Amino acid sequence: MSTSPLNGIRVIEFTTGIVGPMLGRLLAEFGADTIKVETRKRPDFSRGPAPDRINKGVSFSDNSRSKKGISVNVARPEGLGIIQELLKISDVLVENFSAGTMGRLGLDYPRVKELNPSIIMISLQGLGATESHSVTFGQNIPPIVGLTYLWNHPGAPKPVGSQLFYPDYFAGIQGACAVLAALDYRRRTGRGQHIDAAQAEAAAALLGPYYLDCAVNGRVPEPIGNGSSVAAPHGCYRCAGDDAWCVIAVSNQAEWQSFCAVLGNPAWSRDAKFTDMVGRVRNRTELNLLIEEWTVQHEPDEVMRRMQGAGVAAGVVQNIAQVANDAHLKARGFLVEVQHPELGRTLHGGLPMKHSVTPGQVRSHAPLIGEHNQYVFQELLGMSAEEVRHLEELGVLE
Amino acid sequence: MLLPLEGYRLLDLADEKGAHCTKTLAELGVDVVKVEPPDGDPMRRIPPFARDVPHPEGSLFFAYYNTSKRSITLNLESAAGRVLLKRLVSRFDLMVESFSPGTLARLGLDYNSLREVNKSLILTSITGFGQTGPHSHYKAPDLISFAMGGPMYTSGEAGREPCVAPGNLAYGVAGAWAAAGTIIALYHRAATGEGQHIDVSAQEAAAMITDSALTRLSCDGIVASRQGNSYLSVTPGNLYPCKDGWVRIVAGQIVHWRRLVSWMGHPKPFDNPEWENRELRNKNKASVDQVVSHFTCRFTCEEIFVEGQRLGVPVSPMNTPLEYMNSAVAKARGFFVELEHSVLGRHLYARPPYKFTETPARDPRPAPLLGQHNEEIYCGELGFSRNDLCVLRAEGAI
Repeated sequence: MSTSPLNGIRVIEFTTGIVGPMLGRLLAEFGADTIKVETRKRPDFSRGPAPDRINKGVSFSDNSRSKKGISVNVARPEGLGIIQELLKISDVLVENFSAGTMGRLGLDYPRVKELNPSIIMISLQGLGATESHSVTFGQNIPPIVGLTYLWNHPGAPKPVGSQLFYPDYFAGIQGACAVLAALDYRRRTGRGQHIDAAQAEAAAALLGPYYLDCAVNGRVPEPIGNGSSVAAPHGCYRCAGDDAWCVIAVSNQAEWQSFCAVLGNPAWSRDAKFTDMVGRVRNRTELNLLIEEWTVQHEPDEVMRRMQGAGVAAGVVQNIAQVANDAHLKARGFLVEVQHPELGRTLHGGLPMKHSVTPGQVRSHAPLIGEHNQYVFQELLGMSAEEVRHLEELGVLE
Repeated sequence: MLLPLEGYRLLDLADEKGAHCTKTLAELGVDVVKVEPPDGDPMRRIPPFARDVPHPEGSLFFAYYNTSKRSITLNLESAAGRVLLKRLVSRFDLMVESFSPGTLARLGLDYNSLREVNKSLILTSITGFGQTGPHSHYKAPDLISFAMGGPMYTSGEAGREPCVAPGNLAYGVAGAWAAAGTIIALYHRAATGEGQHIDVSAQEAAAMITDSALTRLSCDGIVASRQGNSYLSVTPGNLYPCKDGWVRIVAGQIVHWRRLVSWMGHPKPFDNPEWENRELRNKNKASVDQVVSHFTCRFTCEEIFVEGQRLGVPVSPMNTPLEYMNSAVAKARGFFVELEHSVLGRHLYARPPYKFTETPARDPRPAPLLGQHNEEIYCGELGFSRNDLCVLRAEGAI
């Protein structure tokens, strides 16, 4: 494809879970040839626990779409040899195993660099490649950096928590920025390098103002929930329906007047304590209760349409079924279906950005275990069918 | 030493919606010139402020998100200002903006107009709902995009209102995608000389962090809801009480569960191997959590963290932002660095979230003062005299 900017870039993944696979997937969807290395005994854990379901892992089918996959046991010398040959003809190596694992496999950066001096290798551990003692992954990161503490309603004794596996999905893309920058540097200088990208630090990168508040003002910032310290109304309100909620954010006086008009200018909206922003922020708890008396009579979609129609920021707190049916997302072509040989038709979020000349695209279903052994071993590495069969018999390609 | 993207130049017209994107690119070496309206970027009005004084140079939000950037003033509402912008565009590689769709067109500065002065320009637009589709004109502060993308619905306690993440997460994630997309476009430009327009949606970026929920919906019909800190698919996977706070333990994988059971002294009935079945544990969440809580509450967070990590159990303390700044891991990684800002003074800032072997990130430079680099850019590059600058100021162009 001439319009794929990363055409000709080969990416090797020693990854599991989410963060590493997200990075390799992004590169693949802009044209890179991303090859995931696994074994049947130790597959990517997002394939799921049961051996008979090794090709039916739901998150694997999403996180590793658009890639190729091979099964090689690198703990065997013959397996390591194959991977060494592959790394010689590759551009990027992505890994997110526990710190130290790649070293034990003989694939740490100094040794990979000997094979291929211009390769770019990225390590995406929870706390960083230098923290070899640590056992952390996505769900453990938010508490460490202060995110879990801050993610709360004001004054609540225990943080509210979230089902998200954040920051995996974000840290993988942030890591992709580093890899892409290193690729551009290599294009200009010929030089490769190693990147140590800690998931915790990616999460912390979005909390910078809170740390500065600690450093400059010598205090610990308080959680603020759905509110704002400088604007009201600003929150999440119960609506008509089962577990139905909307969000509304009013940022200035003109929007407040439009907001009141949508509510039919109730008498309380003319109360002196609500007529200016200072009063509304001071009295926001009381204000929120009054607003909810109105929102509970309306469905969230109606609140959104009427508010946005009047120029007030509002939205539906959409569950995933609503996201899947979102007419706007459909019109933008964000929702993509893929035909998977064992799962059937699967739905995916495509790419959250549209390039006018070189659009990224979901290229294929996630690889079945070892699906591309023949392509990689015979076409790329030039091995004979006989050699491949021999390695299979030895159990190297398990 | 060169940074990976040294030599590229970016005009930053974005407010807080694009701040993480341009900060990421600045940290990777792009020369980012922030183009502020004469009364300052809207970020300068976002709290927290140093000593709670809302001085134009006092916003810690601005101070964090604009490190390593330069600042000029330019009034897009003035015809003379727009002429200046076009002269600048002809000298720059990249432009990032986050105006509501249609704003640049109204000013005669849409992509096609800018292309006339610089055919290889890469323009990146970051908005709540993207440039196209029925909701593209909707107002979308972070709260709205986060709600509409899906992650908010599963964040918070069951029965209570969903809770948005702190730190403008939807725009943070969108910013990482936008930065990656921008570098991909640079890569394409290097091969072809061709620029392009990139349309990034924060709603879609938010939908990308929902743990493959769209795929799960299509495969299993699951619509995840809020469950507080308890992960439905991982047991133990919760926030557990300690003597002095909370710790998160995420021990769904069999090896982690075994280590935890051993650490807890093989409590009955969980010492029986049948409990190694994760489905059984998921079905008996409450009783597992009770035993784990009973164990953790005998220790301090620090004791649990240190011993758990030593034993290889994924456990992490719930820190405040200040506790993370003072933590051993942040110090070992050198994650906070001191920067001297001429108004705010010398303080600790979070540094970029990766380490490169070949192109070590230099320490960030402090955020610019409003219009600090007017002379450098307008006189140094466009050839104006100091008196010309006074004229441009007097006529409201800068």
